[in-house]
Amino acid sequence: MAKLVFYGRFADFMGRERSITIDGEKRLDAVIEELALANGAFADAVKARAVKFAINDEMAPNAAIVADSDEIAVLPPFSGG
Amino acid sequence: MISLSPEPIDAAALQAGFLAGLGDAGAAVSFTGIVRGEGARNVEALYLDHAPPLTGPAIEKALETAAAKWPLIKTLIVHRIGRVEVGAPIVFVATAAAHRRAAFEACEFLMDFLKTDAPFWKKQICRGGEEWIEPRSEDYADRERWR
Repeated sequence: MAKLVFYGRFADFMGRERSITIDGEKRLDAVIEELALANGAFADAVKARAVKFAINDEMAPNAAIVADSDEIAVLPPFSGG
Repeated sequence: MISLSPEPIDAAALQAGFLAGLGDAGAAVSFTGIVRGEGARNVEALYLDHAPPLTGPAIEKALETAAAKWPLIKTLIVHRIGRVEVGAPIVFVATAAAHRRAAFEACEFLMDFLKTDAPFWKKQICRGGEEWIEPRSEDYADRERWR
């Protein structure tokens, strides 16, 4: 199972963590698109802003390839300070 | 040094600690960011979410970038996580260098980084409800100054 970890506003819709099955290898943006299909509020929140991702604790581009063993962090725009 | 903590920030104590043992520094700059009440919005507090495996390493990298850009003698970043009440410090950044320009610029650079490029997420808790807030266009413009 791949682990998805949501931060900031995304955690409000999706909870902090979810497990999903990824068959073989998939593009990260395809995984997120599938997830959005099942959750309208998450879909709207993702569409409205520049989302960043980390795979196994390293920042990764939308086109990165993920597999069932990966941990994927879904990150809204950063806002500290 | 970096500290991410749910405990209150005592800026005066941090400043005193930072100023002790500065070696050959001729300039020390510090910045304290405070949670604003925002007047009519009646903000009560901010809630700070962060990503433990990402936030510390991202700040480390920014400190390395600062150290490569300016001849810094000492740096300190203390950032709150969790709930921070209005009027309380949310962040403390200090830099020291031989001369003031490097200390001023590095402190601004690190603050601009924290606003837009460090994995934190801020939720404004108002009397009437809660809202996640994102950087203003000015914050992104400030960051661009260093590119």
